Amino acid sequence: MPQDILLILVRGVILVVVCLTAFAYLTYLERRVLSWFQWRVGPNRVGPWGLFQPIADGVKAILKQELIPRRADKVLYLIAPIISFSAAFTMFSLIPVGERVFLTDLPIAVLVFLGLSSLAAYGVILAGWSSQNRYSFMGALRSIAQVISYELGLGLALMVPVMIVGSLKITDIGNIYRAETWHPAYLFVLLPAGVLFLVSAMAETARIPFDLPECESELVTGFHTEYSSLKYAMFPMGEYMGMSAMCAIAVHFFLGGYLLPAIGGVDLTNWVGLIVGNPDAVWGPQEGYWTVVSLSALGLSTTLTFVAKTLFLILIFMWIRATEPRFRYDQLMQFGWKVLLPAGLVLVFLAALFVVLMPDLGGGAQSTMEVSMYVPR
Amino acid sequence: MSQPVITLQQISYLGPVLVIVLTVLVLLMTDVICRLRPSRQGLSLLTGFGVALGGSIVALVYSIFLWHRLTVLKVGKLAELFPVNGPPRSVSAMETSPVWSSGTLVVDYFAVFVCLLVCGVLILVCFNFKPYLRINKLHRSELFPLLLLSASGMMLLSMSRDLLSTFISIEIVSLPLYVLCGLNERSRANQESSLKYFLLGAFGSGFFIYGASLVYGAVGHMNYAAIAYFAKHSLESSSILMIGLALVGAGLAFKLALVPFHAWVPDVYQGAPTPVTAFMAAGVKLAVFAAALRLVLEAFPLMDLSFWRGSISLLAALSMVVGNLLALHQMSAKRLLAYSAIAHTGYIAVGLASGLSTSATSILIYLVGYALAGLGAFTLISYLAPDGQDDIYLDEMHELSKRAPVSALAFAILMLSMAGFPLTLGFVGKLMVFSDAWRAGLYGLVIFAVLNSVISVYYYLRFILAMYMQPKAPGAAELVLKRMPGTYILTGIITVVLTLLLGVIPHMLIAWAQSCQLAGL
Amino acid sequence: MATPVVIFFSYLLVAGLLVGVSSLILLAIARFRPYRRFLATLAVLGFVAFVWGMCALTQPGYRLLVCYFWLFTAAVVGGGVGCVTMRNVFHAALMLILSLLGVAGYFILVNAEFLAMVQVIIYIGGIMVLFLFGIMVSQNIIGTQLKQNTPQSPWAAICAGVLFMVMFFTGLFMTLKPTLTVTPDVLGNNTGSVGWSLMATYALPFEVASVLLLMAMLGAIILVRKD
Repeated sequence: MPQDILLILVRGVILVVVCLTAFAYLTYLERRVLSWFQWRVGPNRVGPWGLFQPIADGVKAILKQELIPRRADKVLYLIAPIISFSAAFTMFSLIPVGERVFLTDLPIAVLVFLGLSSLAAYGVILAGWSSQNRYSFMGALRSIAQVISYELGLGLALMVPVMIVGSLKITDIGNIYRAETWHPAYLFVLLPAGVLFLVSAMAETARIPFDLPECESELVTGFHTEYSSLKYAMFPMGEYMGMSAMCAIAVHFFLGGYLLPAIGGVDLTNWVGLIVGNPDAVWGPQEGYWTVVSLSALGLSTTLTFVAKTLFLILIFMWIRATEPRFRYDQLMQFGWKVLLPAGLVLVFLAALFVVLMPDLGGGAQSTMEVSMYVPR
Repeated sequence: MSQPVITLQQISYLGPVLVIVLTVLVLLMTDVICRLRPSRQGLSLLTGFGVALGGSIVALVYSIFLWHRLTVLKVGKLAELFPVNGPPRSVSAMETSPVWSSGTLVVDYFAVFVCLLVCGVLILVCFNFKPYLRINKLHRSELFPLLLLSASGMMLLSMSRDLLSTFISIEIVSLPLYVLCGLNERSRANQESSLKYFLLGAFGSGFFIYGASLVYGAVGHMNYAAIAYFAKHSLESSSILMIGLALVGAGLAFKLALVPFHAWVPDVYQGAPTPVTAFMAAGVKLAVFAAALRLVLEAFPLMDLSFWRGSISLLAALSMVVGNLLALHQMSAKRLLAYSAIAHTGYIAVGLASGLSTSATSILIYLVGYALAGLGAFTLISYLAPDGQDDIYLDEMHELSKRAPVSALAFAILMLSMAGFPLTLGFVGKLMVFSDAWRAGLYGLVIFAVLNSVISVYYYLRFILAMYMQPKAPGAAELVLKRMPGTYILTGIITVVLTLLLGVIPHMLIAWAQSCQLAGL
Repeated sequence: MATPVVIFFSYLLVAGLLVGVSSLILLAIARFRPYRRFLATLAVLGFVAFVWGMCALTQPGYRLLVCYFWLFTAAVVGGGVGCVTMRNVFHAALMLILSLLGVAGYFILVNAEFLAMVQVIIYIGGIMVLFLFGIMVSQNIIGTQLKQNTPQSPWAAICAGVLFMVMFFTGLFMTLKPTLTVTPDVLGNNTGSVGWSLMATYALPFEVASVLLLMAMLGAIILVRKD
């Protein structure tokens, strides 16, 4: 028991360290990418190619003077950044990053993910309310309406693969992309669902075309106007982590997860397993040096694949940020309720049709058969 | 594949409800189409009325058809939908106990009869609404869908035999009513009534659902059959079950407005638009009493425990006396009828307390009588009410017999029926309910109830005195009598004629109602 | 057996409960502000003592599960009490969220993880967010801080106290047995069972609930529509 707890703790520490580093370099990446889009140089002074810039930024954030407005609701003011930060980090603990490389693989991971993404909204709400500042307040109001509206699209988009697979477990869902279970027909529902998910995710994390809660030209910086120093830094941290978590989930659901691409019917994931060891042995319980090696190689290659895919999506997010103008608020609401929600409903309907008409495909059929004994006599 | 959860034929037995819900969808679409052009605004009201009426009539015919099927097939029930299989594992005497199966919904004589009555009430209320909207200049054709949805909830309520479906049906009945009460956003009384009804209704629902959760905790099922079974067979003390059922009862009492839970009634009845009040008085009371009857007769075969009988009797007695005493000096007709509604709930609860197998019959007859009288009376009130007042005061009714003799006569007859005069349906209902209670041995309660109905005669006669005997008070407002809209006339004729006819020759109604046995277990 | 330790913890339990309940009742009646703060502290201390005693008596080993149970109970009860006693409506709503989170925790303890997450997503992520939205917007419109004041709080306290006592003693004298008929888990998690009971046994309430929601939507639109 104590070893287990220790193991969990160690994994957690690793997760946090990796995520923090990833966050730091995501900001760097974003700045470089944006400057590249805008034909300017970007951060290049601190260290080689400006690589130490995030560290300098971090030091700056920590050393800045800390201001708390006198009229602020102190407790809530202090809690708010913690909520938005920790919700985003907890999301990461749900996501398997490679074959057998994961912190948790919950049977209801999708729901936990949705729950956390809605909890993250509380950070924004509390920050906006407790600051006692009109700009913050408006930012919070906008954020509430936006999160509520786009959560629907997000949830519906996730439901499509969930319905096809018949499981809420992330690895189960990733597994339909294996060569044995994949069918091109999936593309018809999964592709639009993926697009829907990415758009909703962008809105849910308040990325640029949807960054109404903090749009500089109207609300100073929106809900975190009154925050300074490290507490201010926690909001962008939460935001970046939320964005990366959304991209990671999108990779699992719509881009084949950590699996290597299959070329010509040959699943590279299995192929890697084949090279480094007996593929059958990889799946079963065994001991010995070779297992460790093969598993590490498999884990490493899948993890790298996963990171590459996630980075690809993040780059798309940045690309959109660099090129798209911001929505007007009413357009945002119209788009959420009148375009994304109906589209999501249609997709869910299509997925249901898919499950009913092609029961021999995917895991959906399997689970239907398994549970048919529940029908009352 | 496995057996389907529900067959097409079983679905067809839910016909009246489905027809009503489909009508709602059609209504929503036609409303949108009619509102596409501003020039068709007036049309939307007319089509709304027409479609709603058509749907209700189809549902009525469907219910008659179901009744016919029941009599032809000579079965107690047409279908048990979504069955739950028992016995619950928690029961200690499990090994020897029989296996039973009971549906979440049941379509039996009782349910079909209540559906019939609900359809009738619905049609009459639709009649009421059309001129009401026109006269009060409300372009609110979307109230018809709400009205129909509420009625569909009433039908489901009469069929449900499960705390969960009962709860949801009650919500379906009440939610549209909250909105309907606040129909006229220009009227503060409407808004007040809507808000009060909503807050207290939600409070009552809270009681109900809390009780239901306790019952589920004790029994492990929410089915009435399971509750009865548990109460009969369980060896352990079931105090949690008792508390749960008491809270469920309190929730129902909120909806029924039995006395300690009656505070919302006067303001809501008075403030709501008159046709909505009529619908509440006639429809909601009918449906919730149907649910209460099913609960009492199916889930409490422990009715022989004096606890239940005692508490229902207490509520009944309180409701009668409080309702009657507060009604004595009201000047507003709607408020007076609201207090009298509390008293009537008390009378009906006397029937509930007797808990005999015949109580269903007598309560249904009482409810028919009350619904007819209430619908007629509220129709006349909304006809007589001055513009923008939506209510009528007793001193405005003076000398009404000379100026509007037919309306006055109709009103007098309906009031007499409410008071329970012989030769009216109200008398038949009271007689049957009280004689049931007498046979059940509730002598004191019956005497108390009879005394109370004597008191109630006083205020019903106040109307008649005002209309026939009292000269116009100097300075009292003059009622401006308009031409009576056709649908009001129709409603008035139907209610008065049925009240008298069924009061004089009640045999057919009694025969029908006697076949309205609950399907039992 | 009646060892001194058991006696000590029993005293702790009973005394804590008495102190907690009585100071809560006094809290509902009291008007003077510093006095209220004192009473609130006393109530919290009383309940902590009660919880401690209960923990010690029921599970001398302080098993993790039991600790979690009491943690969630503290959240539920504390959140509920806070919700009705807080003056600031926004804070009251936040306390309600705490209470709902505690209920989600209960669900996890009884292996109903699906319900737990649905509770979080729907109640905390949806309904309570809208609640807060409503509070924030209405404060903005009327321009004052919304304050919760309930003149009838003594009556409410008495009623709630009576109901609590009834429930408490019922629970005390009840032989607790697992009475629920839980469907065995074939799928390894209860999401499937929940789905099947919703779609088979309770199919009708489930479908009817959608009618209910349709109607709620319709009603809301009608209430806010301007002619």
